[in-house]
Amino acid sequence: MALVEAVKAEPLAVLDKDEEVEFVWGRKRGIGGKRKEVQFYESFTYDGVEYALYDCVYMHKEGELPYIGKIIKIWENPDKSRKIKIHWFFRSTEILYHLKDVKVAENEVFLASGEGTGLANVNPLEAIAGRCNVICTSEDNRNSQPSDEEVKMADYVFYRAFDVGTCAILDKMIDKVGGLDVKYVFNRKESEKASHVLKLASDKKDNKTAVEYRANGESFGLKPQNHLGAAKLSHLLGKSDVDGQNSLVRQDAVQRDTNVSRVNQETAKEVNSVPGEKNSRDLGVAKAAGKSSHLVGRNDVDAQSSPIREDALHGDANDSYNEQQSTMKGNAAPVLVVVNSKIATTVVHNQNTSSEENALYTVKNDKKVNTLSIELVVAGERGKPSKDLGILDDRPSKRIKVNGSVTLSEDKGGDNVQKFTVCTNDKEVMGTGATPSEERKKSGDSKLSGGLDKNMQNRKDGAALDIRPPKRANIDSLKVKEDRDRSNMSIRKPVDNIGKLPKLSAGISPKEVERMGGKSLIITRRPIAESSKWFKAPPWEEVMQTSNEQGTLILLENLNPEYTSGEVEDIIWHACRENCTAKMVQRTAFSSPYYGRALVAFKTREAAERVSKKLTEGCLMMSNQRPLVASFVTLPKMEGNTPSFAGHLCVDKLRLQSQREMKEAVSTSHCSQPNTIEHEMGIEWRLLQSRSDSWWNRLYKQQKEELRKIVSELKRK
Amino acid sequence: MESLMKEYAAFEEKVKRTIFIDSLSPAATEAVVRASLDQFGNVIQVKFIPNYLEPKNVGLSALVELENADQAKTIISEISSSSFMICGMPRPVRARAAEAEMFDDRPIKPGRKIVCRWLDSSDPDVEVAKKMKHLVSKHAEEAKFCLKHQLEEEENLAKKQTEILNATYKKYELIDSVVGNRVAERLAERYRVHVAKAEQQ
Repeated sequence: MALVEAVKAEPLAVLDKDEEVEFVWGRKRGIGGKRKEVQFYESFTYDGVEYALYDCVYMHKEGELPYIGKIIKIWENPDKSRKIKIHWFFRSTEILYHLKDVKVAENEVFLASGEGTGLANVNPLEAIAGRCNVICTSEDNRNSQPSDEEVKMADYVFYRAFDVGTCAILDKMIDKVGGLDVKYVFNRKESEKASHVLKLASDKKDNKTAVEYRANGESFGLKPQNHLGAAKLSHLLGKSDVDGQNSLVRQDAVQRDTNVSRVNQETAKEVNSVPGEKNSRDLGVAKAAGKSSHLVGRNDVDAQSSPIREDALHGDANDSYNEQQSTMKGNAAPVLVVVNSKIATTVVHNQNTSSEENALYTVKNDKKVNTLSIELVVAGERGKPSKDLGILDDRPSKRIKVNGSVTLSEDKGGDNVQKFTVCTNDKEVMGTGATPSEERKKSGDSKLSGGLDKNMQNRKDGAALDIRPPKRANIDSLKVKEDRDRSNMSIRKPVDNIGKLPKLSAGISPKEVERMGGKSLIITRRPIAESSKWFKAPPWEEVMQTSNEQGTLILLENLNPEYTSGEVEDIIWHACRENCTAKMVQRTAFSSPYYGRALVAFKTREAAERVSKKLTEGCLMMSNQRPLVASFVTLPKMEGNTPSFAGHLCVDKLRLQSQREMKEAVSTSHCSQPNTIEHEMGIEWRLLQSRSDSWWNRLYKQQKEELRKIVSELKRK
Repeated sequence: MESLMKEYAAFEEKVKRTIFIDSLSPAATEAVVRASLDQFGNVIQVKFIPNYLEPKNVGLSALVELENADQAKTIISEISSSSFMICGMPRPVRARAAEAEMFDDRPIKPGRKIVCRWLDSSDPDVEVAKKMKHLVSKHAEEAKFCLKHQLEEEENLAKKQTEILNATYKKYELIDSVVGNRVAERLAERYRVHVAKAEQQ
């Protein structure tokens, strides 16, 4: 509509003439004010969109994400200025500090409560930037529980409040939340709401159709996606919309609403530029530098969204699946490494984790599965367009009940072990039939990096178990572990029967087994020499030191980092028939997550040399396709008793004094206070620490790539 | 098998309760670490991770086992959000959740069987394997270099900060002395400027 187009260009500030933006008052409410000059209203139509009291709206904020608020008062002043009072919702980004470790859903917001600034504000009506669908998912019995579809289609959900006075998160709604009667906080029944029919512009853009469908309540089968913290994608969306475009016309708003709602949900029918979006969405924490690349990706959405949405509307899962698959082919989805000093694990994300299996899986699974999806994708498939990958990438996303379910932040905050253990049981995930699983298996085989062999193994488990009916029901971490262990155990039966298998997991076709030579060694506990039963072995430190002096210390590299020292000793025994004492080097802050190393001490120089020679000239392949690398090593010498440690400073003149004090004090630990010199310096150190974290992450990421490439060259699997 | 699984499950539970602290000064002892973290929760055990292969001035790292996972999380978030310094300033320690590979006494993961094989020279994979070995060494060197770089950066920062510290200290000394010997007072009177009076010694 021409009117709409014209308005788009107008900066908000200039907008003061009625004829430029469509505005109509709705029902009157009452008169107020000292001299009865203020007219209150129940509803109004602004730019073609009807807003009513207690509706949730976006409020435009220059240069920032729009705020979300609930209209709690509408009036017109005698000077014809129109005002609304807005009761705010907080996005999780806005209260990040106070959230600390609290888990939030991606599209969760918090209702402001309590007293103080930030609770509610009066704003000019023209600052409205569109309607916002916020559903209350609180389980309070005063709240009419929203249906799953409503939750899925909501832009935002909330069930908790944030007290602006105490800066605390409140889980329960009290009778009056920040002055707002609680019944207006909860979902109101349909009949109570003022009727709103979205008046759409007459020129039918495809997205309008989408909106109509939505308004009619038809479900796209969209699912919300949980993950880290803030709704970054809507942030990005909002940004590109808001930039330079002050008056958010209904059209934009509506379109954005649909975008936001769609984006907030996982769907197979997402547009192909969405992988770019989804990357950022998966990121969650917007600390990575890759954000800008996603903004770029996002700009395509509008242009390309139309055709895909039509498909979406038709709701045919398979069709759009294929289409999406093909569209995904062309995209090299960037892989981003999020460095969060708090979380401090490398989280590698990949493209979208959705597929049609959604339609099949109606189970409500919790967060763990999402990690699952992402981890599996991590195991090698990165932006390579291929049919196999297409399948692999379309991990079925679980429908996650938004209400109160925990997000991935916990998983990502967890350690690598958790990643490995939890990342399993794709049997649910992968149960789409034999063909995809085989393909998956094959591609899984080819794209593998050693440290992630657990993922592969689990995936294979999943593949093998496709034959059995996939298990449904809620997965919690314990059950996942049990399942995996159980599956490992049951899988091992065929393995044992077959005998020589270089792989740990099952699902290997007999064909492959034949190809294996008869040279595999299964590592079991080595026989303990009689003599060593008589006396206890000296502690490792001693052994190591003597061995070091005698030159019989060997460094073994390229081990699976999960091995234990005992297993290393067994390996050496079985492979080289030598006794030794081994110690796996423990992982530290900057150890490679893909390489395990061990120090191996031998009793005699000859033994050490034999082993070293054998391993260097020959090639001992471990289960995860990695040859052992052995080298003689001498430990670096210790310089003096207390090695220097950068960063602990002391004023020279006071040094003598403080040393005396230090000797007497048992503990000198504290948190620095903001008004001290040390505080600033401490912050500089933390900055350096996170910088170095990012170096390591980048380095290891690169190494992983290189490793993977080489492993993929192995001809024999 | 069951007992192995139980043992491993217990171990994993312990991992969840344990935090990994690094950037510890070599002067920190077990008692020091324990005392400083006791304010956050019950410290069950403190074990330092020995550093055999890396250069010695990377600072110590330790695994601190706590009573429950919540305490661990609290500590990690506290330390990450504010500068917590142990045994020296201003370099703060770092804390993160522990991982299984950090423990040296970890039990074998149940259900894992290692199978390995020797490749003979006719095997088509031998070339690739050799390449991999090269790659391994290369990566090890890269890691060493990165560590060296990190240590250099740390040294630089420490040097910079020492300078700043000494300069600031000199300034404070100067101010103290000037106020102390009443020169400041006299000057202030002359210029009719208000200045804090020295305390009566």
